[in-house]
Amino acid sequence: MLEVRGLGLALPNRAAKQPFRPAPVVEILKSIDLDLARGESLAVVGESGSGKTSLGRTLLRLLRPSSGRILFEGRDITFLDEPQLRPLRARMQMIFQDPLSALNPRRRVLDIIAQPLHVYGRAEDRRDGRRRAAALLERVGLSPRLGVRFPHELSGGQRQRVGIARAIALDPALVVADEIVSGLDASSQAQILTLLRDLKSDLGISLIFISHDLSVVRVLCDRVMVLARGAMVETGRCEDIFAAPRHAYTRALLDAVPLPVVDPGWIERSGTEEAGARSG
Amino acid sequence: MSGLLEIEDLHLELPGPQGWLPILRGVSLALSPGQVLGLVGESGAGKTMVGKAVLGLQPERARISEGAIRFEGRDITHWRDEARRALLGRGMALIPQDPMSALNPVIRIEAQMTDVLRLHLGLDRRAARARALALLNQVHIREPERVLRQYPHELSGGMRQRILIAIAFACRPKLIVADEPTTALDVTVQRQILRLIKELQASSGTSLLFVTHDLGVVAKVCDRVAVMHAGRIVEAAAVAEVFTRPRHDYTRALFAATPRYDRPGEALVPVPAALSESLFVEAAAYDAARAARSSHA
Amino acid sequence: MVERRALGAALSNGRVLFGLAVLLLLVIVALAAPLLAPHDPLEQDLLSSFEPPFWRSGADANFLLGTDSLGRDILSRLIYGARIALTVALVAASLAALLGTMLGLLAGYFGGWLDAVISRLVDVWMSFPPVLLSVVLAAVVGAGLKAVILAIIVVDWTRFCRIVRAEVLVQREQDYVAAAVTIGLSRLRVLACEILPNLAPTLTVLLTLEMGIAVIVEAILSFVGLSVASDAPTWGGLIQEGRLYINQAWWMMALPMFCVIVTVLGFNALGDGLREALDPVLRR
Repeated sequence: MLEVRGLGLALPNRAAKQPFRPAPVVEILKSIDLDLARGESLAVVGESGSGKTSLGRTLLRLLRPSSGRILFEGRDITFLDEPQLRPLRARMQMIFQDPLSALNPRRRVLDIIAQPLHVYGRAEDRRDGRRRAAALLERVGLSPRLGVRFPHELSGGQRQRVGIARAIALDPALVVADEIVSGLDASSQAQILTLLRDLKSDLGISLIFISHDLSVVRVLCDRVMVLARGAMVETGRCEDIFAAPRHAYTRALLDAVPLPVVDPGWIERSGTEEAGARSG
Repeated sequence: MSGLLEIEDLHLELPGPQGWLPILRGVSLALSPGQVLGLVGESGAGKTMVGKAVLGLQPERARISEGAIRFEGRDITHWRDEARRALLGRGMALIPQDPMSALNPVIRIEAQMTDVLRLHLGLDRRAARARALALLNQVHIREPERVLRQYPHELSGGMRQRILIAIAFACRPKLIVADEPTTALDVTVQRQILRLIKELQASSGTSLLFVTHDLGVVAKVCDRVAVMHAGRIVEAAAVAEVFTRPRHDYTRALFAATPRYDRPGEALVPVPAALSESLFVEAAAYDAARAARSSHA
Repeated sequence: MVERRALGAALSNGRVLFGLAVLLLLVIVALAAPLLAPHDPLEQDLLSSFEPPFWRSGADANFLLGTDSLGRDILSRLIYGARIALTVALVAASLAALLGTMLGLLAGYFGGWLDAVISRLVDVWMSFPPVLLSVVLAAVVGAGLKAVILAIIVVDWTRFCRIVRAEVLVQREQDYVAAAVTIGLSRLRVLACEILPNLAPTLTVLLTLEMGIAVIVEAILSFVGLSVASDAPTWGGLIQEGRLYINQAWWMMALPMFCVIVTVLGFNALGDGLREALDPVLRR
């Protein structure tokens, strides 16, 4: 369903621009290959600066790749322009990390969810749109009465569910979830993850789940891809990678996750790393 | 009990549209010198507010209606302004959650560090600068001279947090409140920072009140842990005990809701709505009983 | 567009209430001028010139606020002056807002060469002394109300453009804009339907402040003689006339000045109060 070869993304770094010279270009993604079958879920894991968010946005063509090829449902969407992409956008949706900024603060929840339906003509009129939106709210476990509220009147977990409801409104084939549980506590996180898992199996959605948390990833995904500094470090089935990571970086990432197990040695084993210009 | 910090039956309220909203409902805990106590709970449980109340940094409009906070035997519950300022720095300090907003973006690191040192330790500029360099070395920052000249946005999140940790430990306080200090950091950086905090804490004998929602962090760093829900402590014991034999249903539910990559077969169970509900009902009953008592008094 | 809570907060703010009261008063006076004014503002009665206002001895009950050098009733002239002040305030401020906002939206959202051109234009434009620009405009277009309104638009659109552009730059980075793209909205629709509504509070405040500025500019221009024909009653014109007789009849200058001050204070209070009332709702 999704086939990506040699995807590269380079953007000008305006902060380092010298006068009278073009801004120096930073390679954010370096030749990424990716395959996703229908109904499959792939986790994209990496730390800050790894390019994982940019990868998600590039796959949905919110950014224009500098090189490579993206084939979505057989069509080459790599260099299509906006008018050509628009009909396809219904098939590929995104759930954003910060629902407070991802939901228009001046729109009521019901209108936010109904909006994509109206754009693509899936609702006959405003009442029909509202009806469908209310049904979607129930689907994600929210009371339709919350539909009249504004985003800032909901809790973080509720807002994220609204984001999910909007993403599934058009019945997409592919959903990219960009760090959607990062700001939530354990309880809300568990609720969102189980919701997503159920929706995935009910609706047959292919999922790309971007996260920095390896434990979270294991819950949801079949396969995992580890990114570091824009390049792919390792990829494979979850059980293989987690049981026997081949690359040192993957191993470091796994070791760094604090499991809820009392282990005084964990701190000692971490080794002193001098914080210099490179990392934290 | 002659611990370093004693919180006894603390009740804190915030003004709401219909009267006072209870945020802390009879919180009691004790911290001995050199001990690390973890405070866990969901957002809204009140754990951050406990830390703020200890430091005297709770919002102006909050009121402590009952209970006491005792530090080194002295009742500091209602201390504000002058008295608190004297306490902050040498007695207690804070490692905040977000290093970006805790550092002033338009002032260089050197000034931000030396200001604190001069204020609390009375050092002159040269001595303060030397001390700042020593502190940066202590937190394993390479090229400390260069870092002193930089602005916060030129540094990585991990480095900023190291600087804040350095500032917190600078005056050798007896107690440090760490408010989710690693939540905003990458997992590998988090490990380094936790190691650093533990290292400094052990060498200086500082007690640590570690607020977090991450059970994994608690397991690695804390000696004791208190689990909070709706402003109440539902379970408090040594970490070894709570993690092998949790007694309260809510604690068990939190564990069941925490994903573990080493146990893929284990189902992830969100905290059951019924359990949450019953706990909120208990809290409401507590409020009602308390109101009845005070109206009879 | 403005939710109930915001309206509630706005209406309980003292400054907003004061500003609204002033605005309402102005509107009533301006609309009902023919009914309220006891005399024709242009009617001269040389025998009754320099009549004192009611609080001084020897006042004529016919002329509550006295008369000017040509025997024209000051109260009536002030009332009709309110008409001109309000017209200028509403029309000029709205058109300046319209022009500035449109260009600001385009510059902020599309960036690139469009932004570069518009921003440079604003920079250059703002470096012209506004008074000079107004004088040149009056010379070209000819003095009169149209020139005054045009002068205000021509100078003040840049204020709206800059602020709107800055706001758009901030909003553009928000995820809801990216989300709007993913659900298939065209760029223009995103700009109009998603971003613009989020600018409503800022624009409301700017508009009310601009109305206050417009009243002052009109007063200045008519003081300088570039506004409407000299016998038509503008507050600025009344101030200018009054200045000549400040020793004999100080009220001729003080009364129109008082009107200008109260009006501007009212608009400023409204703008300030609205900013206070609308902001925290958004910030949450």
